[in-house]
Amino acid sequence: MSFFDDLWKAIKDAFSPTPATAPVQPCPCKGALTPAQAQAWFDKFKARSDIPWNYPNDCCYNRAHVMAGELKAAGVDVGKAWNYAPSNDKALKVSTPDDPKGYVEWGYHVAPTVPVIQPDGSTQPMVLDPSIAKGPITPEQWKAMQSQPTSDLVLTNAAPYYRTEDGRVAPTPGDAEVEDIFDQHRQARAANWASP
Amino acid sequence: MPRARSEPGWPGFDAMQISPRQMDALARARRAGLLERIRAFIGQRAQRPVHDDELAALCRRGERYGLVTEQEIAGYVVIAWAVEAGRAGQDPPWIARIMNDPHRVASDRVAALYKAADAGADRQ
Repeated sequence: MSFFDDLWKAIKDAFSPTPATAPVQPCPCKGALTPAQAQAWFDKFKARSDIPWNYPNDCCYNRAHVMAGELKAAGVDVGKAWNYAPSNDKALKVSTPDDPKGYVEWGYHVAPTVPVIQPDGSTQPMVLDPSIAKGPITPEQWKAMQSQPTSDLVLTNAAPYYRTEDGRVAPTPGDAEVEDIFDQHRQARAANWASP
Repeated sequence: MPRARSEPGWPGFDAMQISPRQMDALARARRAGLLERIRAFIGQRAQRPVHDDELAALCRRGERYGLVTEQEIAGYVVIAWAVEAGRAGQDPPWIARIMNDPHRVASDRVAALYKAADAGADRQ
């Protein structure tokens, strides 16, 4: 980026794309949810039997993709929170009754975020992750649940289906492939608990 | 027959209207706020003093070029101020040529200013 590229970018960040003298401006809360609405979305997703919430070993990217798509279709300004383990020998770790070991470990984890309106009128991104939480939580709370203080928390828009820690993204699969992945994970969940 | 809620004369109807005078006042306040933010933006990056009357003149010139949004006006004013086009009373030819290009929409003209500055047009 050259000096002038940087300058133009800084101007676009600092100034609105709306008419300079328009007496009305878009509501900053456009696309945001009240705390009650965020909880209602969380509960609605949690109640979905087609999404394998009880298979925390894998599938977060597929769950995040489906939730984000539905939130976006409803006009919510949805994003995603990504948490990356600091190294291979320092995996993210979450206690769960949904694995025979009582915990699962991940190299990374992802879930959708929604802007939630605060009492002062500002918005705060909140993570919707029914696989490990009981309601909407802040990205920092969500990261803390994964037991690696030095993990790398990154907030993005909703677009990446899979994102590496250095920002590379994988192509988004079609609806049929997304369903296939859910099927595979439901079967893997059953195998998790099969008698030896 | 009950009146529609939007009908003049309904209790509270007048209180919900923004008069042209109020619209003008809001627009003036927005314009003043934009000028102040442009002044602050430049002030954080520039060595020489920033004068409001110079910026106001550049804002008016930007609007005469058909710039509408905050980004367009700020983008033009920052470049024009940097080359001292406000003091000179007119834009240098390379800026005037881009800003009068009838084949580009306003936002593209402002973006083109930065590309041209990057390519050294301001030093030709």
